[in-house]
Amino acid sequence: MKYKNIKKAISTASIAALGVTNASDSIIDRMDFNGTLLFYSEPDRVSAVEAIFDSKYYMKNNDVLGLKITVDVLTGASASGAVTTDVDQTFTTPSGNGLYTTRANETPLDDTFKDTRISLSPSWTRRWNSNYKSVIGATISKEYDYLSLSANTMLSYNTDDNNRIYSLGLTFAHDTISPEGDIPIAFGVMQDVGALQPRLGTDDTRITADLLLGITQVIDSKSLFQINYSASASDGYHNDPFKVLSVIGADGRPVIENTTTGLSSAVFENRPDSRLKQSLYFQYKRDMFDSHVLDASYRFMFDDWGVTSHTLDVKYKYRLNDVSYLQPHARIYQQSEADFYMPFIVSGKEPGAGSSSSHASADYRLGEMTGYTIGLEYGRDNVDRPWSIALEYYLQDLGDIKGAFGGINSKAEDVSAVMLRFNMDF
Amino acid sequence: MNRTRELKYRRTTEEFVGSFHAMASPCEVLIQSSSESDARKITDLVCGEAARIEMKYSRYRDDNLVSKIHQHQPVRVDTETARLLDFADTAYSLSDKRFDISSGILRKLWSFTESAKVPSRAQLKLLLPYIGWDKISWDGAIISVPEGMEIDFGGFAKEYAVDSALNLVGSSFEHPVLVNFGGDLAANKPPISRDTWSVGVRKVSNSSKTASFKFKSGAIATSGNRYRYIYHKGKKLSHILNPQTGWPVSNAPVSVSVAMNNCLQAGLFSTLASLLGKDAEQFLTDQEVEHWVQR
Repeated sequence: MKYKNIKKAISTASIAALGVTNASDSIIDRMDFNGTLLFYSEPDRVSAVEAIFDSKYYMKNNDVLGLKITVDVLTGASASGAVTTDVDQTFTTPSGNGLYTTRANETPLDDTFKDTRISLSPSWTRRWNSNYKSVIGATISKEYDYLSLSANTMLSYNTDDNNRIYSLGLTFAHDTISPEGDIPIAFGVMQDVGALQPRLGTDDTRITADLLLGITQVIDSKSLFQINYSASASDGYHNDPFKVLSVIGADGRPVIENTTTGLSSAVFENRPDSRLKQSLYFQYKRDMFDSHVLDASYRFMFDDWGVTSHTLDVKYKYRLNDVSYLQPHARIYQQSEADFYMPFIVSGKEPGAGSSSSHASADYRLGEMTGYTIGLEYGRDNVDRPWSIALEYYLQDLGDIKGAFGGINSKAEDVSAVMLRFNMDF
Repeated sequence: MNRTRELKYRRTTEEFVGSFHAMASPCEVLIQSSSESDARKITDLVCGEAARIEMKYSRYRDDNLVSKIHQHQPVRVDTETARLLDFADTAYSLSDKRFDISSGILRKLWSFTESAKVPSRAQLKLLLPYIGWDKISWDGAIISVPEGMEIDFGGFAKEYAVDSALNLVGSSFEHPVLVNFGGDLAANKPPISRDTWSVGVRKVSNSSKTASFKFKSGAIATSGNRYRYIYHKGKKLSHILNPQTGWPVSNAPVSVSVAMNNCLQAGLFSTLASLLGKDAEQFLTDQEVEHWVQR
């Protein structure tokens, strides 16, 4: 008997296995790509579409290079800070070139809001040995009136047989804002279309330094606990150039600045030029019944603007079978108002234009609020191509307006939003 | 990566020799260069690559790809692993199912130590349904290993590491280099100082001649280990197991060495020859490959 000659076939297979022509020379061992598409909509207000492309390159020397690209498109309107009242109001757009009217009992919205943001975040991860890992990254983010540059680094130390990880993170950011219509003067009064608007300079900047200290501890084979402390100090321009405060007269209605054009009296806001935020974050994750995962976290944040907030977030990954899961999600966010938050300014008490030492803002994001999120995610993992889809509903309950003047402005309008997110590995 | 491994260097009249221990074997790198610094860099590269492959494909770790595959869920593998699984797949079909990377679980019943016992037919009958590459789902990207089954890259990981390390060296250095991992070896080009590399193979019994291979470049792989056998009913049983019967191959040669272009295919042919027992020589002759069989 003679054996079949398989030399040539095996030789071909071995050359393919060694990938001699390309892959074994390549310094990249493996690549991972992940894409996310997110739709966000606040009825009658902002809607946004965001696409994220995240790529990771695992190098032969065990380094990991990452590149994340994010593109956002926002359209719609956001609350300008002016009060809702029982008469029509007229305002000038931020550019100073147009005007818009808000009907009685409607929230004044600046509806010229449209922007596209593109952001690039490269990163480099190196595991120095079984204990130390470092990540160095940067982000450049550009939109029409905003440029943000940042650099970050994270060092983690793995000890106690991988049961405890200490993390230290630092981020430095430099932001430049050059808004449509230039930088408003603090407490400058909004002027009619065509008139000289109270502006000072075309752009301004802010620098931010962030520190993160974290400990992750594996408790047992099924659970882990994480505690993070973070501090964020920023210096520079903190105002929102598009936010104003209504000037309210004795009748509880906004003063009319110009009886001919009907322009409402509104002044531009002014916030402190520095902010120090600190927060504590606790997270607990537990494997339930060998297949489900409970993930609960709580964050406490406070700053030197007088804002304190609490966030409670709970997710439960319920495994339906080997390849799919359902994950309900609930979050409650509660925040107190900033010291200088005020829904409006009483006529005669407004600081003079350029009073940089006085602070006031009617931005609802600095006011008292409670936000509720509920959501449900369905995902397929452990399959050829993992993917997930999530639907979330958000309701923001703003506090009653304190010090309602003349009884007309008693309640701010609640904001709700719907979010749909699709995520896939490819 | 090399910090935990002890690297040793010595200098002979013609070359630098770097040595270390990896993949349960003594490993050597012969470098024909006048630069000691290059020689050290090359040894570092080779040692690093051996460590990488050992870590990635060892079945004794709980944090690598193999352990993930053994969780019995579909796993999408990286391109390197995909190429190796494709190779295993081709080898399985071309060898009439004799080369089978799912046969590693036979070691649960067979251990070739002095005190080892021979498993019963009943024990083997229970285990055999869990062997067979054709029961494993592999589509070129995703592998799914059924419950109770395992795969083992041990049948060719060392040979693959030899080739891969040599390729890595070749991408940065021009020096003639020979990589030898526990008797599986490959050289990128002929040495400068003489016509051929010369590698001796230990004589295993009085009846066989001492073999000495002379080769310019390419690879030599050897299958067989004279210390690994047990006695059963007066017969010496080899450690070469037939995956279809779960029983040692009868009349297996003590050692089979095969010379080919790369170590991966040389290793496969020496293993296949051993699995054929008394037909080992005829098989290799029919394959028209250079070989040395010791009995």
